[in-house]
Amino acid sequence: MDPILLIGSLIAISLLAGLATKLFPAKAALESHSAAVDYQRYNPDAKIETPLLSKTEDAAIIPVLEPRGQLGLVTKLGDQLVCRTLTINEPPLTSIVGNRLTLSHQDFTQPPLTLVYGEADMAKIRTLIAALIPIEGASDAV
Amino acid sequence: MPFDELFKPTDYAVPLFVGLILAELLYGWKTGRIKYEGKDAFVSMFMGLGSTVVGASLFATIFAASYWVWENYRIFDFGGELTIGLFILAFVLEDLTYYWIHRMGHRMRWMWAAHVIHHSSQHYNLSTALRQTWTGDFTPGVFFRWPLFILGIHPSVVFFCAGFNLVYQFWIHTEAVDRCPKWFEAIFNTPSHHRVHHANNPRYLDANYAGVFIIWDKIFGTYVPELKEEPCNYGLVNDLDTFNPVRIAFHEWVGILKDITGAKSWRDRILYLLAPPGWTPDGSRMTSNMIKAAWQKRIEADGSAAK
Repeated sequence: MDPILLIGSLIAISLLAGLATKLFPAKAALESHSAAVDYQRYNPDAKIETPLLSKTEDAAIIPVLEPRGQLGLVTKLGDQLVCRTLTINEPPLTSIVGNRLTLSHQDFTQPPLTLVYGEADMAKIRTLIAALIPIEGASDAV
Repeated sequence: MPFDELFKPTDYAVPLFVGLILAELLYGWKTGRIKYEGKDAFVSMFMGLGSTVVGASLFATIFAASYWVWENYRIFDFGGELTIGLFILAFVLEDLTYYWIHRMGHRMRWMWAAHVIHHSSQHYNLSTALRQTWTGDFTPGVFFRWPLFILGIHPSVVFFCAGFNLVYQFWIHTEAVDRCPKWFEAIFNTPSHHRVHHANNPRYLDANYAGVFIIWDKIFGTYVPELKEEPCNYGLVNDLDTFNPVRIAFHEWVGILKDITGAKSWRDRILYLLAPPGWTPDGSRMTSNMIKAAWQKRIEADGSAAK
């Protein structure tokens, strides 16, 4: 391929994407309600509790009552939501340090993510995650 | 027109693509009817550029193989000129071939590994049309056009028609057009038909594989109309959580590799490649058929509960 054409295409792509960012800013924070709706849409038979929204407002853990052995995860990607179910069969690598929970699981398209919680929510999260896996670094937790 | 003068329609269409994306962006901003997201649009267009680069690099090999088949095994001889009659015949047959490549692209995980890229955006706009695979030439899809060469249609003509087919499919990736005239909707693939194809609502899964003519879906039983009461929700049943083009391009290949290396038997290894996406020996993941069956069951249960 002609290098000039390649560079020209890259410039055109960047300009169009830049214009799209300008005209359609994706600034809205994740809300508990939209996280629940999204999770329920992909998992209509699941019985869930109120999502535990990270203070960073870009991810939420969804407590799943039924089926057992599952935990919902909704993250924000641009202006869209991405939903995952963490299961006891493929448990995520988890660490809790202070008010920060780091999750990394066997998903090539989901980088490790850090969620930040207050004490009360973190206590709930600790219980939920303990049901899935033993927590690495739990002793360091506040 | 002599075969050696045939051009690549997609090369000439690039300015049109850029112009129409710009027009759709401004229209969406003005009316609120269409959504764009900067990173998503960048990735879609970047994947398109990557696809063009990879395609150009491999074209000589693919063409040489196609030419070898045509040269040695063709049944009919259509001469050395592209006539209108030959163009129409080749275009219709190439579109039929496209239908089957596309259908298998959704029903065989090996081919899905390449095609999934096109469905990996949760947006549906003209930039999505350009979100194309980098790995399509590494799937059995490359053999699907061989019957056309064996029939006697020159590879240059087939690839010329395939280019026009791709150019046609660009404009149907939009929410700006609601419905086309009835006669057009009946024969051709339209934005409405193709929105259904990109939707991940259980009702719409594995439907409307057409390239240009929607009649193939009607003939082969895969046609599903878009319903006003069920708006399309775009993306995959398991959406990607990244804008990294390399991860997007190769994620399903990585998934296949992991599954194959962890498989317990050769039967499972082969089925991880050839069975529909979502297939596992123990049924722990869901194929689209399983998702649709669960949805159907829920509808029926809701129906009996309402009675």
